[in-house]
Amino acid sequence: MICRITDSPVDMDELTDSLDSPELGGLCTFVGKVRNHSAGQGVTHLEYHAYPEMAEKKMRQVAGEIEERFGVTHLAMAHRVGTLAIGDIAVGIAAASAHRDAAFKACRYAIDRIKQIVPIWKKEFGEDGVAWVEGCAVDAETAEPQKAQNQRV
Amino acid sequence: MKVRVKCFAWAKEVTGEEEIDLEVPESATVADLRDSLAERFPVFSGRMESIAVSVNQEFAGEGTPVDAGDELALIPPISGGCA
Repeated sequence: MICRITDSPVDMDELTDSLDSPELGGLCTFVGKVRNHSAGQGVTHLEYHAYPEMAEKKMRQVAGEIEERFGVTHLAMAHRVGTLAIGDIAVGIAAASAHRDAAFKACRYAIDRIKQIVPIWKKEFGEDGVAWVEGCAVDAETAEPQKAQNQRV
Repeated sequence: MKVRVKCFAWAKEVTGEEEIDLEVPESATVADLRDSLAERFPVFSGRMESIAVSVNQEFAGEGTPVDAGDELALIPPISGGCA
């Protein structure tokens, strides 16, 4: 299983190839790319920062939750850090299972959960200046998101 | 005792450091660490609620003990992935 923070480009072929197995009939991927706009403002590029050791540990936790919920054990996820240009892949996820339903669910859960508990930060550079995008404050007591937030500082 | 705390993203920017040393009482908890942090860097006081603390790479509640040998970090709101 791949759970990786990397400063190199995310290679989707590598992720999907790692899940190549004759019993796996459904393979679902998600590709998160850098967008040229955010909250109505133009974005020129992004920086992603991570706490790499904890981030990979939390990605493995997400994988464990996926196994528990959907029975899916064939997963690959990679998140890039550093300066990224518009159109670059920030995050890649691949999930495979015998049938498609579990693969779709696992893939969706993985990206949603990464945004909640994996310590990765995004700094947007745009026409309007520079801003940390603060998507999700973690409640340390419960290790879960505090509430729906989408503030910029 | 002195503890070393990693700073990420906004926390790294406002402290100007990747790691800071904070003085906390013996048998300190995360709450003591926050007190020490706010005293040294008042900028945290206003938004302490949104900053999580991790101890040995796990999110840690206010009563969690912290020791000089622990890996401690300040975790501002996260924004990984891509919408």
